[in-house]
Amino acid sequence: MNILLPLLIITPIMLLLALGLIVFVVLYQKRLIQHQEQVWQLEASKQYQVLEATMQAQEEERRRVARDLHDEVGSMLSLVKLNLYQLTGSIKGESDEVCGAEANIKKLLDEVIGSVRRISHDLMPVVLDKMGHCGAPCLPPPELRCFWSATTRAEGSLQSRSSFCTAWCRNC
Amino acid sequence: MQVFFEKYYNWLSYAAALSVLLPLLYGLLFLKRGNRLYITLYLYVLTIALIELSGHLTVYLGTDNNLWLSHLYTPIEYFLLTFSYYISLKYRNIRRAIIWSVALFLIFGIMNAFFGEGITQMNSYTKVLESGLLIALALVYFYMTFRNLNKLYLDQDPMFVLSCGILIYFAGTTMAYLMFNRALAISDNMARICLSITYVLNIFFNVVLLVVLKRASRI
Repeated sequence: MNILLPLLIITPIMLLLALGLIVFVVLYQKRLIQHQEQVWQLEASKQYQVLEATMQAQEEERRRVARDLHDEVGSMLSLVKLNLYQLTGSIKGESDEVCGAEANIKKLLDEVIGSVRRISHDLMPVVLDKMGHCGAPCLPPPELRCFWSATTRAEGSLQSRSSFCTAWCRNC
Repeated sequence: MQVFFEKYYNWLSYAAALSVLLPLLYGLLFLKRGNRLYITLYLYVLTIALIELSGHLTVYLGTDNNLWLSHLYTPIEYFLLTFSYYISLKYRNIRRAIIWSVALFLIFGIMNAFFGEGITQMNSYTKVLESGLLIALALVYFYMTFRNLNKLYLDQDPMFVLSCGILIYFAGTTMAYLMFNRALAISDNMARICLSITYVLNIFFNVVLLVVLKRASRI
């Protein structure tokens, strides 16, 4: 029996080592995969943050250009139109030529004002279109706000608020 | 111990021999749509079945010694198992090493059979070398699994299951085969102790082969 002593000692040890190795491989592989997943998640989160920052910057820029066009260029054009009305009203006994030129200039001014408004509306960020104008800085003036909140309470939907604000912006 | 040899040893021997029917019969179900790995593994199972049958036939026919079957079986076993690794591992260096190892192993087996231990003795050294090489291949496969990390569920990978089986089976049987000739020189019962360990691990390995065939059929 002594001759088989190494067999009876070494075989269980080798079997235990083999089993231990298999358990180690399985556990270590699971840990590696978990680590890999964490790295992928971090990379995805980083990419998302970069994308979000880029989009925010782009939307901010669009909003700024749209605001400048709407508030400055638009109001200047409206002022020019007003001055034109005053000028033509002060001229007495105007000829047909002057009347024709006046009408032509008014028409052109209306077109330019319309174009500026359209461009400024087109430049509004996509997010604003989706979320509604009320969530954006483009709020109605104070005198209209109580009407606006009454409407929103009555309608109770984002869509109605949004359409109301769009209508207000078009008319302002 | 005597009770074990009289009552249970024969049962264990038959159970080990018949356990090969599990992967053999299961493997037949998916043989037609089997891939290269599946067919290689099924050929291996078929070889085991044929060798078991030959062993029992030689006993039935009353031959004194059927240990020459082991000299025949070991190189075929090594070739088929390494070929399954050859299919699974796509690295050129590993494949080249596998081809070289098969060639060298074949030479060693022939030399051992005719000039070493002899054809009437158990090919212990060949078996030990085979165990060492196959365990090394299983470890290489584990290393590649770590390196590639392309398998989320290891238990679904047939080669991983086979590597686990190889690791346990060959780690467990190496000492039994190494001691077999010396034990047989003392008494038959001593040799039977070695064979009992081998039989238990044979049953285990045949069940592993069944699982491996099941996984390989889904690839």
